[in-house]
Amino acid sequence: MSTALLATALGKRYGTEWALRDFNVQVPAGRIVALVGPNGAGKTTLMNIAVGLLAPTVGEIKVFGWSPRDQPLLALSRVGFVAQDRPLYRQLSVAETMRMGRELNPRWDQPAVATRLHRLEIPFDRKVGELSGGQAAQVSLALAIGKRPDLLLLDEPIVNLDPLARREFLRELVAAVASDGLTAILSSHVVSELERVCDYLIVVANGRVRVMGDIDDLLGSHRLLVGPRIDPHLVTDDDTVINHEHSQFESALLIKTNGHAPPSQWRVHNVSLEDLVLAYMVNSRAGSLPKPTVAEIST
Amino acid sequence: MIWLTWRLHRGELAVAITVGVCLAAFVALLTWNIAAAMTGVQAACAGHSSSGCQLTSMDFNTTFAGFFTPLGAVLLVLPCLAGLFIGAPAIAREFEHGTMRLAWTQGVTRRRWLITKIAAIIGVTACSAAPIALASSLLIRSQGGTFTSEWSSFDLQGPVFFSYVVFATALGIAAGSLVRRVVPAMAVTLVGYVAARLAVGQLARPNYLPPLESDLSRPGTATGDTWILGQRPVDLYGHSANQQYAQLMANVGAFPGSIGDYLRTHGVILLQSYQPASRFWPFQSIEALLFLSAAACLVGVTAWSIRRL
Repeated sequence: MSTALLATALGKRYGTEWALRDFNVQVPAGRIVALVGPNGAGKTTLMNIAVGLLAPTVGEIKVFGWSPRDQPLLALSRVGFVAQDRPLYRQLSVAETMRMGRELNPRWDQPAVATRLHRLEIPFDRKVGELSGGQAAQVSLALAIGKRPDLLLLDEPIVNLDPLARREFLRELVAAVASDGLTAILSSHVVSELERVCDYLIVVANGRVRVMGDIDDLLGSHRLLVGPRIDPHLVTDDDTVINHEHSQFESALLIKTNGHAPPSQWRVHNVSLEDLVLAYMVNSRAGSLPKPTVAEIST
Repeated sequence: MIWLTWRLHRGELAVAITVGVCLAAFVALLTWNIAAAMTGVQAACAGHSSSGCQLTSMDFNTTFAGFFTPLGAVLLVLPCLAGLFIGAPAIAREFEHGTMRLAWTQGVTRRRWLITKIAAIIGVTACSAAPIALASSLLIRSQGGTFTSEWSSFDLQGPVFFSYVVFATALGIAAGSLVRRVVPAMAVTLVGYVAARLAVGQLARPNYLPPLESDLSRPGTATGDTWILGQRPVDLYGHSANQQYAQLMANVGAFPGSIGDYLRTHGVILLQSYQPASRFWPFQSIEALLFLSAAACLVGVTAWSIRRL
């Protein structure tokens, strides 16, 4: 399976703060990837480096083998990008925005874009600034898909959209991915919105990858154990216990299964994607900070 | 890319072209009228009928005098306006609205984006400035020093005016690419432009070539449209004589003849430094080259600041 996006030992520093550090990611082609992490985790930085808007401080990133900074035309012609806040020229009409796409992109697919926007009943003569949020988001998506990319990068694409517009946006996205066989990476700080469309997960926190892999594999390899309360300090700090929480009488451990059945006092539950993501986000903080939540609960 | 650049900036560029054409046409019309009226004055004054000559001269003065002050003010601020309203927002607005993330991730390089943008904006403003610069030169030539002299309108005409427009626009673009917000970029442009103009006009321009000096007591050495820079008293050996001069001027009473003769009889010569009329066009060329080179440097700064991102 070919690789759409490959980041090796990638790092980006703003002043003294590292937004990304020792970041290694390999995104297989043909997937719809959820890039999830809290605000400030480095998702936007990663996306901006992938399209060459930012230069990495260290390490390298390759899009289908091309460096977005050193071979911008080769890399950019294969990437459709919707930046954060979905920027568009507000003073341009929808038709003019399509013309912009046609003039700036050699592989532009005018009939497909026109058909798509027509089907969504977006008025071509309306200024982009006068469209509804959902319509403008569809124009952004159409512009990104119209260049016939092999990789779509969408930075928080459905933020500020109402639920109906979110659903329509994601439906269009999935249809495009399915029909053109492309790879898509969507970033979000909430995984639940992306759960229905994505099949691959990358959890980012504090500028590092916490976990990544096929969503079904991840769900299959993690379990939630609930049982009588144990002393939090007895929980081994190894790779198998991702997160542990303790109430007055019960303890809950989110673990990575290793093939052995857990001791019988534990009830075993399947994990939801949201639990999994949250566990890995919390786990990332546990490494560097004291554990106030655990301490509060245990007293 | 050319279409997009034009589409995004067509408002301000259309205003620039309109101002260029209309102002140049107006100035040309004024020049033509002045030239026609001048021949009338010359005809009236050739026949020695002095009352008719006076009347037509007065008529000529009252008709055209009112145009020059406002026109001078417009020509003085016009280059700066180009920098503020065309140059400064050109790139700053893209940053402010985040649209450079859209433009830079299409299938064209950032380099081509920048070259097209700068070429279109500076090209159009320069083409709008050229007819104004030419018409203004012809106007100032046509009135034969009646309302304004060549040197006192130095920065309102010719290559110099053209270079100011190009410089101000390039300054605005560079400020926008560095500051990345429209209003602060406009402020930087205003301050930078005024500072550059004042510094060059006050410090550099008088010394593009070493000034000439003439003895004030011997009139006729500095004739024509000269630019008087200052005067200094010296003694007969050419040494500075400020003290003697001050004493003489303090005790000045009634004296026969000119003040130059009065000072000379007391051993002080008043030297006047000036730039002669023949240096007008060389000075125009020097200053225009100076501002055009500065504009080229500012384009380089813009390219650097975009590349480095």
